[in-house]
Amino acid sequence: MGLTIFTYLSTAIIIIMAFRIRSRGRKRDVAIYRIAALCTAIYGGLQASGYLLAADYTDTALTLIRWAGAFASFSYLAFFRLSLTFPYGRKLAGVDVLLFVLAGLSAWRFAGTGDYLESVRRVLLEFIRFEGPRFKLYGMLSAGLGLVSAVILWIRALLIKSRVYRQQAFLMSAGIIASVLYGYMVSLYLPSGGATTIYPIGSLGGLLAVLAAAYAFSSTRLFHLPSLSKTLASQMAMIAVFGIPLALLAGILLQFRLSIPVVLVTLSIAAFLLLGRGADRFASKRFGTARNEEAREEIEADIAHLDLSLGREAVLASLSTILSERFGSLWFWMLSEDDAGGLVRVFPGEEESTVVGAGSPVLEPLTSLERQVILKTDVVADPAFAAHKAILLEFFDALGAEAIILAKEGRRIIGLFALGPKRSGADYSALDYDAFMAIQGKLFVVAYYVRHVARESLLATVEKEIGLADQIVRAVQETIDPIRYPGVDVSYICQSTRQLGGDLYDSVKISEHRWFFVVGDVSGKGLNAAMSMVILKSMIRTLLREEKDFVKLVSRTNAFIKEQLPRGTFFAGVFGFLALDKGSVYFINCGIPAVFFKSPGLDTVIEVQGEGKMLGFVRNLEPYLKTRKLALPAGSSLVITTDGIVEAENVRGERYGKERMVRILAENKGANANDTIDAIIKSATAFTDGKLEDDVTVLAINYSGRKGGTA
Amino acid sequence: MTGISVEPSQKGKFTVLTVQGPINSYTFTELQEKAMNYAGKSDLAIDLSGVSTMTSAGIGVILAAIEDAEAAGKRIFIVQPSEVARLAIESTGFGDRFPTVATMKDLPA
Repeated sequence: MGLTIFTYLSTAIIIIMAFRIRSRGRKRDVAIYRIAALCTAIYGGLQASGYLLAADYTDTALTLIRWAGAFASFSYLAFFRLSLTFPYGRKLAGVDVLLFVLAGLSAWRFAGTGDYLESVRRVLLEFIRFEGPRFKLYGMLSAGLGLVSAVILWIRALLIKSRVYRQQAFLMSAGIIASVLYGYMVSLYLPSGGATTIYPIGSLGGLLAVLAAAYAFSSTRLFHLPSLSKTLASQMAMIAVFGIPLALLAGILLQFRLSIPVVLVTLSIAAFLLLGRGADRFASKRFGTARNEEAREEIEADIAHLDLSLGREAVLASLSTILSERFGSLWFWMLSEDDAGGLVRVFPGEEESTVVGAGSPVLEPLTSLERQVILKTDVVADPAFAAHKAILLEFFDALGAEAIILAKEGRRIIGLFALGPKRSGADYSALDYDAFMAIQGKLFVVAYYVRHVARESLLATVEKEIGLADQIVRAVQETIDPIRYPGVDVSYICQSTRQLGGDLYDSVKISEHRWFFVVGDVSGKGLNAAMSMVILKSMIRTLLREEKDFVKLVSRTNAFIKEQLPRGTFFAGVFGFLALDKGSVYFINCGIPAVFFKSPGLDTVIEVQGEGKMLGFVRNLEPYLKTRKLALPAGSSLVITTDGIVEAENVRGERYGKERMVRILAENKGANANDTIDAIIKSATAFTDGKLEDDVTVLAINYSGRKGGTA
Repeated sequence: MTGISVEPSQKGKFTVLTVQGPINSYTFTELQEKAMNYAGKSDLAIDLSGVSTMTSAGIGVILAAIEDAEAAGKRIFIVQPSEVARLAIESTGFGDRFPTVATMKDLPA
């Protein structure tokens, strides 16, 4: 019974796998694969059901198991068809007709005659199978067809130029061979030695072929063989130190009837949850898979330490050296956005030359695809690129590149880093892709530097790196869509106490009446915080274009901070949407210390921020996020500030605090937004004797209704 | 301006960093250097009982130390945080991300 349940579960997995594969761009291949997978699933289901009924309903059992044999042969016929034209899925009408005829013939001989199986019985736990005169012949024909398919795939793999398709063909071939070997062992060899209780799991070999093929279809990047072998060794170690002892213990308990299966399964799951992570960590340390992450962090550190004061040529030459050494690239190009919106080559060579003209059709897929890193192998094999495959491949070929990393700001590409082939001749692997993803945030800073700072003739007048970085930060901070709307008066200040800081203010016009805004503080100080802020602001703008759900926008920003920015980075702030035609503001408090609201009706200043969760502490913030709505009556105002004001301390160690701020706001209730901010800054500066020690950002919004004028 | 002192010591398997004074944008680098030196390499306890001020800079250092320790499979605890340190930690909304013990005696073996 246990084995039967196991087979049913496998059947369910096969069906899920069959429909999870994306078919865009490879419809025929995937359709044939689905036929093979579904036939395998039906084979498993029929066979398990047949043996389940073999004790009491022998006629039904016989019919089911005969049909199971027929579906096993259909599955191999489908894999054979797949092998003939993989990976291009060409039409072969004549072959298809022939295969359908063979399938019909197979159904007739397997299910309609006693050739394959004469009868089946179950006595206690033993299955008795009375094989027909051609049982072995049909089994060998099916298995032979599988092996021929595997050999064809193998030969095709050797002939295919694309390495990723070659990898897919090898994987598929290996899966089919494993399936045939399994079928031989479980259906023929072991039962001939007396192990007849395992008949119901004879169909599980199909699972191997289906899973391998599913994995092949979804693997669009080359495996990095050393990493793959380390991962396999790590998994083997985990099985040895954790899986085998647990399985032995479970077996002993069952053998001596010390436990019932349900309890045992529950205990096993609990043990897996409790001990699995530790075992995984043990194994990854022993076999060095954790070192991949260290290597990625080293590359990040190398790029973060580029000396921007040395000028564009030197910065890009250093970057070229880093990428060449770390990834083994033969060459490196950087393209930067020009004023018309095209891309010009800025490295190598002193003269800029246009590579992609403004309005070039390749810009559309590069901007619209939600990818920052694109490998050529992805374009070849990943269905996500199917709609743009030709134009992207043409672009890669024109550059001669094998990988590109994009620096995007909203709908613009401000920089593109192109890497040539590897010196070793290998393609970029999944490991390289992960490393590119890890460094793309740092590369964005370089792209921004090249686009906005290095092109201007400021190098001679600005001192060293802080000055240069400060320009980047200021340029980013000043890039906003000002909120200008009848009846609304908005002002803000975003200043750093020591040139560079992590405070962030941004506003983006969404529609005629609506603006998005964000106010906050990226943790840390100086250059690191400033660079994180630059990256985060760009990322928020990019996400804003892609994500229509407010909560998900904030949640994805949180995930970006957690996964892409340096460890220990977090963001305390507020995200908001102003619906000025309706006089409403929607906001999500993410740890902003103070949002003050002044209503003419209340004639007092109140705090409205409520509780909030900062970004960067947990991977999934969505369950914690709450959207609040605040109605803005005519004459009301809103003041939002980061911690630089309310936590400012004087020489006696006293905090400026919210009470003082409330008092200042009450005293200046008739002031316009700009004067309100001036009053707050003057008050806090006086309180600290002119020594504000933290970055300060304040946003003031006065709302006087739709007809115009200020409050 | 009052300075910060960060003194390392050993208690059982734990390296203890005892912090005295304010952790702000001027002083956090001292804590950062020492925390980064030990986090992820040995079990670490950060005694915040003597902290007089803690800004976001301090939270960032401690969060980074926690993440380093978690990545390396080492233990890390905040010990007896002062009122200002506790409030700073709670202001993140994720107080439970900071494993805390009330006294040094409560550190596990």
